[in-house]
Amino acid sequence: MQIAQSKVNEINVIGVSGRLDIKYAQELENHILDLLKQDEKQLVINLEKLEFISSSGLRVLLFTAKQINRLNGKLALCGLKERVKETFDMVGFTALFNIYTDEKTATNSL
Amino acid sequence: MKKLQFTIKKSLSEVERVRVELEQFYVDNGLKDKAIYELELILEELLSNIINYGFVDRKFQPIILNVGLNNKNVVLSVKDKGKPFNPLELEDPDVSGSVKDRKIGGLGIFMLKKLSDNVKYEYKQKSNVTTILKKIR
Repeated sequence: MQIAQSKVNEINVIGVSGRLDIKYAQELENHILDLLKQDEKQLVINLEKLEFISSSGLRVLLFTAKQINRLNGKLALCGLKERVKETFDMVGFTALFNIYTDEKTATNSL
Repeated sequence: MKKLQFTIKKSLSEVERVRVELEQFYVDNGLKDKAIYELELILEELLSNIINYGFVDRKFQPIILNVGLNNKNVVLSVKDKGKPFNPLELEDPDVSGSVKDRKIGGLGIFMLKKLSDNVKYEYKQKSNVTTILKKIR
């Protein structure tokens, strides 16, 4: 897994590529927690380069959504590949998140 | 039936090593991307559950993974000496609630069951033996 961080206006874009699994989930959680600590609470998580997600990764996304809700922040996801989308569908995550096809639409939605 | 066996120590790099070797095995045997993805997800959920929760009250002992493959199915059989845990008895999480209502946890075993065509669990010789059958054709 690799994390690419950028900031457009007030919105933080986190690009996650590779595999979000048991080995890397904690790293993403720490990255997001650091942002939240800096009061950065408008997040777009771009998953267009994400090849694999397991429950460890799903857990980080749900945890992030819960934190953002609590802080009255905003969160959008974008760019889910077919397999990742199927995983989201299986666990009811598709209805849980604001999901957009590309980063621009996701950023504009916040 | 083609067979492989792995002995897995307690480290996440080990899980990765097994995954990489198995992926090659699946590709060499002509499995489709979707089946490979789902088999990887099933195995990761099973192994991560054992590594995270199986040995909290005892000393870790290596996990034995047997993989069998024929024209129709892949069989994954995992044997561990962790505390008794029957995945079939775990209640499915509610996957319909809002962000606030959704609980963190329980998704891994839920997905494992959803993606498998058969899950069998036995406790014998002080070991959990979880055997998963997945159709590949």
